[in-house]
Amino acid sequence: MMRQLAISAALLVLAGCRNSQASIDPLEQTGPKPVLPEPTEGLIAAVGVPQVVGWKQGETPTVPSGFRIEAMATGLSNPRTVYPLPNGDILVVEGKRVGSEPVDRPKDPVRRFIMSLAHGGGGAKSSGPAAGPPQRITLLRDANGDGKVELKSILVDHLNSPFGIAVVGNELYVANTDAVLRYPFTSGQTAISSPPQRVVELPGGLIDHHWTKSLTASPDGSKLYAGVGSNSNVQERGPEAETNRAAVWEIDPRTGAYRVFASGLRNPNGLTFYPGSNTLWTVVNERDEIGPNLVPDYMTSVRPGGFYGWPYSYYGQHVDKRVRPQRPDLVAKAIPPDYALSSHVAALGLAFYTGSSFPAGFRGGAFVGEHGSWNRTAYNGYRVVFIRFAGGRPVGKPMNFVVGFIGPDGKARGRPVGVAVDRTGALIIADDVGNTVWRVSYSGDAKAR
Amino acid sequence: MARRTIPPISIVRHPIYNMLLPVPVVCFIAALLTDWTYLASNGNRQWVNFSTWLLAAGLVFGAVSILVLMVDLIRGVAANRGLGWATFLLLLAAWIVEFINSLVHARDGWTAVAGAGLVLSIVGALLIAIAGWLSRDALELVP
Amino acid sequence: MATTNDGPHGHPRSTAKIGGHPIHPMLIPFPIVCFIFTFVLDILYVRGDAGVATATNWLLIVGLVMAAFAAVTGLTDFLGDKRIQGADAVKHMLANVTAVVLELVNLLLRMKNPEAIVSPGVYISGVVVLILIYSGWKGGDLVFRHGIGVHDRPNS
Repeated sequence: MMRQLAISAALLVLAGCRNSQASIDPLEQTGPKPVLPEPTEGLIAAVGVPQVVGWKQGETPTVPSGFRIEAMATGLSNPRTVYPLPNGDILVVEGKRVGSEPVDRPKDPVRRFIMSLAHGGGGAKSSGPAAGPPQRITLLRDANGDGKVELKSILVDHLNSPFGIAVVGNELYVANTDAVLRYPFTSGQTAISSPPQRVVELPGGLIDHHWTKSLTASPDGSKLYAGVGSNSNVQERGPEAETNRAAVWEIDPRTGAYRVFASGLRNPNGLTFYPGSNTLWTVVNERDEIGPNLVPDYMTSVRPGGFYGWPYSYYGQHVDKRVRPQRPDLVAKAIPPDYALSSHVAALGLAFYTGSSFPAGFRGGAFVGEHGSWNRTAYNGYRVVFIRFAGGRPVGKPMNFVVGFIGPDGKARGRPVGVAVDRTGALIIADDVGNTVWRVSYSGDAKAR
Repeated sequence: MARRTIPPISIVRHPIYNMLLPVPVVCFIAALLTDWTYLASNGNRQWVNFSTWLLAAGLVFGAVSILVLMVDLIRGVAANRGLGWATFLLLLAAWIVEFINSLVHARDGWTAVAGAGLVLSIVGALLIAIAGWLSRDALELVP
Repeated sequence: MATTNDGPHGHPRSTAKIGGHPIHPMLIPFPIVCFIFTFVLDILYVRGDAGVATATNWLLIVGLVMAAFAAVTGLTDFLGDKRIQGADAVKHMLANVTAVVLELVNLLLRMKNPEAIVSPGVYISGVVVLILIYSGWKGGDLVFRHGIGVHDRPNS
């Protein structure tokens, strides 16, 4: 805490008095019309990265009264995505970035060091095995739905920075950072020994700035959708590095043919179809370094052929003057997103509530896993929020649903990433630096929302 | 020929300060030129990347030059003490300006140069050029 | 009262001067820095960073142009005062001419095909850096030992 305070204080002094954005309440930046201040660039980008200390025995995040949260599995290795199956098994994708970005300018090694602090490096303790990254899918079996795992096995190993997965029929699709793979898989299996087939290559490469490739299948299983994040913050690595990136791809799983389904989405994750519809939704991490309150991350429906602004503009027609040459023609057709989540929360997970064990007010609403901020001195995110939906559209303000990932001492015990709803209607959460999969169930007693 | 009594820090009679100073001079002046080319090219990022590396090299070698100069001045090497310390202050000012400049240049995209970046590059290049010029008169060169 | 008495009884004088400051030593750092940076970038290219190839072309061009100016002023000084025309000055000049010719060849080769950087480009760049260390040191000797262009002090 002291070290982090000292670093922040020094940076603030150097940055000078420029923080006219300081007084914005994050809630004013949620919903369809967020408050968007003027961009400010100080001498040094604001950085606030909590030290990672992991969960102590018995320590858990906090949920509203009437709910309970327990650790389903601990000692995992950077779990990022959770995928519950109809038979009660839960697939957990454990993956990390391999290698670091090539150095383009002196800023890069500095930035890399700061990011490593945020992900539990730099001497911080974590509650799981520390060593170099497993790149695998672990299967958790909880046959009787009581939240206790009877069996834990490695389903698939030796992947390449996997993130998104989808099961369609008797096939498991895995989105590595550089390709979508297909494995034969039947419900009940605990390990896959067959080699995969490569469906299609995804943009990876040496830089691979936003390496997570989210994946989902259309409701009828005929198409796959992959989220491909940008290769830079605001195209500062040049437009050549961004070919087919900052986009959602639509992939034919049989032929591997693909097209860019929607573009201008800086880092789209949590791809999910709204239950009972053909509308694809995503959560997007917007750009950095123009102030602690710009640009709010968002959740949005994805229109086929839609362009959402990156890198030239955000929230429709707000031009980012850092990008040259400018493209006023693209800015003019940029679609503003549906629902802002406030700035730098790093929304990575999205799941619509399809269960029936939570109070009725949760039905059809969205849970968003907010990994947490680095580009602010006052932390934002580091929680799971809930947003009510009515008529297939988000309404109202987000509600903090799972908090306590940062303790009262300002240190991070964990950071939520992917969220999903299991067959008992419990909410499953992947906590990467806490190396834990959490399960939130409703035990009654509180009045329904 | 009269000889100075106190020689500057040298390697085999080649003064270190005189060998080092050209590096930040060249780097800071060149960074101004690459900045200007970046703006003229409407944002070809290779040029601003060039600038950031030139600034980094200039700051590293500039820091060493400042230290060496300070030691030389304290030891009384300067033929003209006033001019010697004036040179030191100019060099220090150039370094501080270019340090701040390097932070501005670390921004992503156009705003790394447009506005404050270019202004600081101009000021820094001027300051170091003057410091370089004065160095010669302030510190006499042996033999 | 100090007088700049760069006459036959003082230090060898520089002919190409501005405001009393010899021009040649002001110019030579530019090609030196350019050619050293070229070598560094060549190494990066060989190690896999293809993006630096254009940058090395620019560095060589700028370095050669500045070297041309430096050569003119250096030659002017050389011809302008007999006391300069000694062994050290000749070695310095020959080394620099060699370096420039090598870098010209270096530039032409890689403009035809960037792969020339891998061979012989990076080797030429490396050899030139070594030559520049030698000629730079010799240049230092010309100033710090032979006193070319140094102000004379008034006789005490």
